[in-house]
Amino acid sequence: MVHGYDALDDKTLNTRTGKGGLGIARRENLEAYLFLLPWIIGFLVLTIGPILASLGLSFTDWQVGLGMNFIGLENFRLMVVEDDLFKKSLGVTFNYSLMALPAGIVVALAMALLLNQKVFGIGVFRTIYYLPAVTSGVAVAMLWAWIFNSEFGLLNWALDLINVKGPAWLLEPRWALPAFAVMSLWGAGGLMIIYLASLQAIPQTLYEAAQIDGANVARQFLHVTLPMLTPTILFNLVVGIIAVFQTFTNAYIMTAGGPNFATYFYVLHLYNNAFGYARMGYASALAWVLFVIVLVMTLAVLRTSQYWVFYSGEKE
Amino acid sequence: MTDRLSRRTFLRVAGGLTALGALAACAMPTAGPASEAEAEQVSVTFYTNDVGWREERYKRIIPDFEAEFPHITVDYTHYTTDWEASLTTWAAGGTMPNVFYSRTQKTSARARLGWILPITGYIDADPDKDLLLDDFWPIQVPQLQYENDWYLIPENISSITMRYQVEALEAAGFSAPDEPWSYYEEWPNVVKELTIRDGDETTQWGFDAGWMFQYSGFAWIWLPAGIVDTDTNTCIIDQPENVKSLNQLQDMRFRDRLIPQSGDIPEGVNMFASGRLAMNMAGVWEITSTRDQVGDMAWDIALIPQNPLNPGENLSINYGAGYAMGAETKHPDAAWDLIRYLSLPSMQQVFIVEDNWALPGRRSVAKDWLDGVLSTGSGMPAHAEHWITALETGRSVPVTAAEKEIEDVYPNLIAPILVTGESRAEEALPHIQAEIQKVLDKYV
Repeated sequence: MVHGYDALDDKTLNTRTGKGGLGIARRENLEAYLFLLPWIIGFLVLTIGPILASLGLSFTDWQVGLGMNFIGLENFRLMVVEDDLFKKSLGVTFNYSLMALPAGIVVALAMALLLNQKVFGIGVFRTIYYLPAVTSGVAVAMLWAWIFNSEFGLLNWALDLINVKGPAWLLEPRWALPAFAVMSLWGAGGLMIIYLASLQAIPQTLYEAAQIDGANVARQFLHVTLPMLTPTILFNLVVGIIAVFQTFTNAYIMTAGGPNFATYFYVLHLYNNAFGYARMGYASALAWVLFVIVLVMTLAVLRTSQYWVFYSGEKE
Repeated sequence: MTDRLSRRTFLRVAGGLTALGALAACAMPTAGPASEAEAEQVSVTFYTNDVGWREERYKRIIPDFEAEFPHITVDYTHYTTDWEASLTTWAAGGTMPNVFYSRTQKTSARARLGWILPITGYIDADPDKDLLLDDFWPIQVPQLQYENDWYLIPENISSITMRYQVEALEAAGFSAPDEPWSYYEEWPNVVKELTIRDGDETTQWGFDAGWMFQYSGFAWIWLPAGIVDTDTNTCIIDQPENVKSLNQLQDMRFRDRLIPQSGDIPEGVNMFASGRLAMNMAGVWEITSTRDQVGDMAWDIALIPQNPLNPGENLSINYGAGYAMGAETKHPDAAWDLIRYLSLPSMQQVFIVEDNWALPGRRSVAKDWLDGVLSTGSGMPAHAEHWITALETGRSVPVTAAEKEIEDVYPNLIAPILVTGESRAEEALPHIQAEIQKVLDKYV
């Protein structure tokens, strides 16, 4: 069924005029923009505006309450030459990403494969595995502080069952960051649900063809499942990079960056400068450096994707 | 056609309603001509933070203030979280509260940034100026000033002592000390005798300072020579007396096992109340909670040991909180009226004495506080007056605008000495000195 002017051709639409002399299409466009206007204003004022403002601030020495002077690239020079904590926090964040990112992608995929089985009550299991991903960051931090407790924590209790004496996870510099990487798996349910959706979108005919060719389960996974999942792995990798470089809440609550700067993440350094010492100019510069790092890493991953990501619909 | 018209009509009606809504939202409430009294009416925003129960007290006394100053209306809000970050955003946005609760150790930083206004003129004009100033704790006075101007009126001060199990101390052969123990001779010996072992297991630890080894200005208790020379803006943490002190603590913790390491302390277990710790730190604000936690166990307090560099001084570091006037205050006279009202001894009764919480910022109320503590009955320390003595003979937190940044880096820097025990103080302190000096140099 075709309604009203939907049935009219473009020419007719553009020549018909309303009371104000505007074409119907133009009038509709205008009305649409009017209704979009609150969002557009909000986006410009509350998102684009602050982003551009922070870019401008990154070239100033603004400390809240004191004057604001343009200092060119001085903040970036300070960062590289004088700020040891900048380098330290960057190193911590990179090291953490090397541990947390692969672990998160592999564990989420494994969970998705398990939860893709057709067994009784699978919906309940899916819910249970996904639930941690929606719990509050602060609550999670408190929970893991207990799990990692050296004397009465769940983790060391479990290790004790196999005669392994667990360390004081959050109190020893060499164990604190791996502990955070383990803790990051708590949120793997978020990635898992995306894998699960992708797994269910893989055509069954591919598996049937592989079975006819004599492929066992492992070969089916390697040559059907994994290639078909590569776009999802790419997506999860990019989202993971962005998330891992913004790690903050757990470190802020559980360790405040310690012990001995072992968990002093980049965003914690940024936060301290902005809200601890009111150095908004320098903190803005830190934020933009973080943006560039994440952008470069994302572009690098996207660039490599042509070698390992398979899109089933694409042509050679 | 019908569809087109109805759609257009809908858009018009919706647009019209939106416009009307916007107009209604922006419209000022109608009011008759203001009387002379109403025209003089001013409003003061007043924000506080700290423990939750204080909110109810503020709400109780604000109507009394408004009755006494009918031309002032107080717009009061209490915050329990993100206070420091909130202050920063208010300062950045030009919306600082007119009057707010402010930690005394942060006065320099806030005054330097222009977030708070000097109140020297109001103090000078106060008819009770001398009475007022003489009533402040001398140790706290530098924390209320910046560059010779007054910025804060004190409300409370946190005094630090050590609390101990009375039976444990007596069993170890010691009596309640009236004077502070000497730091290198008597005190380590007391801690050693308080430590009890059953084979490899320590059933009673001699002492622990917990977070006060690393965090906050209280961590500087363990630096007899201090951390910053505020006159020259120089970090002095590498002084020989600090080396000796930190090495002593490291030996007590890692070599002699008199102080538990972090891994020895179970999460969620109150080591002191459970009897697994004979002595630890006791902030005056913990007096009621300690009484409630220990049950029938007798406990008392002792002064923190003598400063080896100045035997007349105990090593405690003391600071508190007060009221400041925000920089954008449009009605400073009214803001001052509120600050002055909050500083009255009667207000100290409401906020300090009623709950034995902290020590009053005015010395004249200290006796009421002590009487209140001692009259509470069983469960209170017999030598509660040591908390007052600690203020009279203790040390002030270093007054520097760099306080927050030093507090943030210090726990990490000191960790190799006191947390992991991997470095001796003489090895680590030169590096720590250099790092803290870098921080101080930003505040020239």
